[in-house]
Amino acid sequence: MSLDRRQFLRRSGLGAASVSAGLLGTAGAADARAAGQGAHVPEVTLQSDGPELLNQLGGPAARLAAVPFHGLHQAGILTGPPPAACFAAFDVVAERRADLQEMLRALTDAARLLTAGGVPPALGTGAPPSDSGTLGPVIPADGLTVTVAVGHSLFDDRYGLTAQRPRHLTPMRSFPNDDLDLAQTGGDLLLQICAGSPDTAIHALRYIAKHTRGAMQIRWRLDGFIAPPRPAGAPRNHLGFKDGIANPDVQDPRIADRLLWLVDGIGEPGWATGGTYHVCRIIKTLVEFWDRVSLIEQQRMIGRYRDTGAPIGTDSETAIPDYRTDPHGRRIPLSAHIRLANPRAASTEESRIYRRGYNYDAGIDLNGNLNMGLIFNSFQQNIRRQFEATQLRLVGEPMVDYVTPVGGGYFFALPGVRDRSDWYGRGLLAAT
Amino acid sequence: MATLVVSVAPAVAAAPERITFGNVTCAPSWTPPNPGRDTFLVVNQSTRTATVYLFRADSGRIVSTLTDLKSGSSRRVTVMLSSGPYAWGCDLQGYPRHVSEADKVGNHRQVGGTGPVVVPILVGELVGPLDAYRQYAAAKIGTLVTQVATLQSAVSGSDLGSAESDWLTAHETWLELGQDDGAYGAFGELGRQIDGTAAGLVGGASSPQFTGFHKVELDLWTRDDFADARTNVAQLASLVGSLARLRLSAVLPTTKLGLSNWTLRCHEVLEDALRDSLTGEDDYGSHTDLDSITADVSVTRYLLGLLAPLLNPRAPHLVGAARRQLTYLDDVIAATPDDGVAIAALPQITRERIDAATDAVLETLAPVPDLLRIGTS
Repeated sequence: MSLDRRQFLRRSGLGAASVSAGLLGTAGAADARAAGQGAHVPEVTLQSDGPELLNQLGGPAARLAAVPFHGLHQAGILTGPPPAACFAAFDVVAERRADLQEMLRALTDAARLLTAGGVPPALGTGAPPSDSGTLGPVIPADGLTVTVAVGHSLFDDRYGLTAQRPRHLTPMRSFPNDDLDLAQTGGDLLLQICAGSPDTAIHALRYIAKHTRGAMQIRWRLDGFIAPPRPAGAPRNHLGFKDGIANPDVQDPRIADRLLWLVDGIGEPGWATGGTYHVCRIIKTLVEFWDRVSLIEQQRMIGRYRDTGAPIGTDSETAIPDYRTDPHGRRIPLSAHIRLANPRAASTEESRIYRRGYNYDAGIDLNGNLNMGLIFNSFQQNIRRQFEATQLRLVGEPMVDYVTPVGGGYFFALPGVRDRSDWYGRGLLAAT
Repeated sequence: MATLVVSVAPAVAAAPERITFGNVTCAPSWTPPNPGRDTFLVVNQSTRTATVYLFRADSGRIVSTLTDLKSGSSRRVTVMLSSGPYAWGCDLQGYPRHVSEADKVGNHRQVGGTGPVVVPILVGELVGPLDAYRQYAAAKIGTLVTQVATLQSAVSGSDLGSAESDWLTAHETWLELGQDDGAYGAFGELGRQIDGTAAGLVGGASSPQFTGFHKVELDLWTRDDFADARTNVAQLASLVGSLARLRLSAVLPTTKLGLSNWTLRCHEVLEDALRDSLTGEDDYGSHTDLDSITADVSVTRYLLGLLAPLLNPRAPHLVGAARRQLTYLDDVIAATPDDGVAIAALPQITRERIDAATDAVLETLAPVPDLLRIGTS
């Protein structure tokens, strides 16, 4: 089977000219309004407090503004997580390297168009419509980001990429408390699609799948959401606790270059500079069991108060627990999750990870219990030094009885698409 | 059945904080605890006899006084602290009074209030029940050793029918110990080796660390491999032998932590059953998960009986309700016609009835560890 880019594009009805021009009407909702399409769409800027912002705006018309697509790094990492996400891992089934390349270019085109928003082209009476229409006649940008990461398996002998594999990109190891389901683990390529609302994220997945059809197949997928602040501060997870409070400040470029991005001179392939390792773990929370635990025990396991999110013994969620004055764990137990995960010591500073998690809710298990949990995402410069070191400190923590990692994988989020002529993985495919 | 037991102790009991005094120092860098009851170990490192105070730094109210604390000696003091600033003071004979820095006990006030408070129980009240359980466990382990030997001879004789039935008998006895392998099981890594699944092991069921009952189950029911079964059942026999050599007073100690972990078994045996058996996740081919639940119900009922005298004054209806629900769960399982069928293959309504009965008794049992919270004497 041989696929070329024109074939992908013909299916969407987009010729080369319209691709370079973007969707008709080009640059997003503003242009759509100028073209007289649809009602007024309030524009807000996506910031790190996305969910809070959306909450303030309220109402279904609220839309997030477009997130710039081009840059040294991909969007969807430093940009604060909007409320909805869709995670989809794919197996690439394209037979030849050239097919892989065309697929990546088609994926780039689709992501570039969708993240900008606009009016999809009319294909007339001779073809099915170019877009599903689930977002209406004008596709809103709605804070959409499409973050593409590749798995270890893409670097096998199929496409001649073996020598270019990022040094720490391995299959995800099984940790002692894991119960990994192979059907939900691994994959050649992971898409993290985030947006202001679930329909925007799912629309993007559907569009991308249509335009890459034949070259890759979805291996597993899971939708996520971030709850609005209850009542304020960091969002809560299914355990009822505020989560994601203690992230390193990766908006500071010095910290990001130390903890997040691959930089030159750390022994990684040159093409990978500007990318980052993406660890994605599907962590089931056994909520029925958790709900049968007393509040005191819950708080001792986490290390925070459930109501305020403050570390035990302090009065605000952003307070920094001082473990030096609590060496025996009288205030915050030595085995508390926050203490093991981030001991706040100089020796563990280099193992800090930047988390960007989403809750998921996916039906029921065989025993009738709710199947829900956390789509854990961490981005880091070095999987072993950061994610694995952190995870190994957590082995055997009391919370393991209530959570079970069941899937996910290690991936490498590609460097950003620089400009209109660039595409996902160009550096990788040029390097070999 | 279930995830791994690991090396980190689940809940480390914190030692009382040492409050030290010297000729010129006074409780340097002391840490105030959370509000509530707490114990300090006051140590006189000075050369003089001392009188020590703990007082509210805002009002000056003295919370506790220790008199006549000799040089080089120490004494425990237990106090009830509310939120606010506290400090230590010390009078040494012949020296001016010196005072520590004031530090604040956290002022977290739970939204909605804490609700009613249950009287904690004393370590001594649980010693008798635990002792009875140790005897029960010793007898079960003795039976288990014999039953595994029987299983071993059936496997040696390549008698599949007997081997499968002997496996089930021995596995039920193991489960009736009530220590399967939740993170709090008393036998730790040995418990995992005896009855852990392959979950979390690198290489899964082909990992050399996958051993015990489920490994033998895989050999007998799924792989039909007597050669492997002989090796693996010998290993199981050796593990069970190690179990029989354990000093139960050491793995089931009458410490505050040991007793707390033991009382957890009253509800966690069935929590593990819900997670591992009723999902079929620990089924390596024998389809005996309902037999496992019956064994789990049996030991839960036994533990509930031991703890009933302590539970009844604190929650008068709990034990009776739980017993009725355990009986109902037994009845639902007994009425299930599909013997030897995987959980996933049961009719949906049957599975729902079993799940519902298990869930109901678990909700009833959930307060047990909180009702039996052990206080400081």
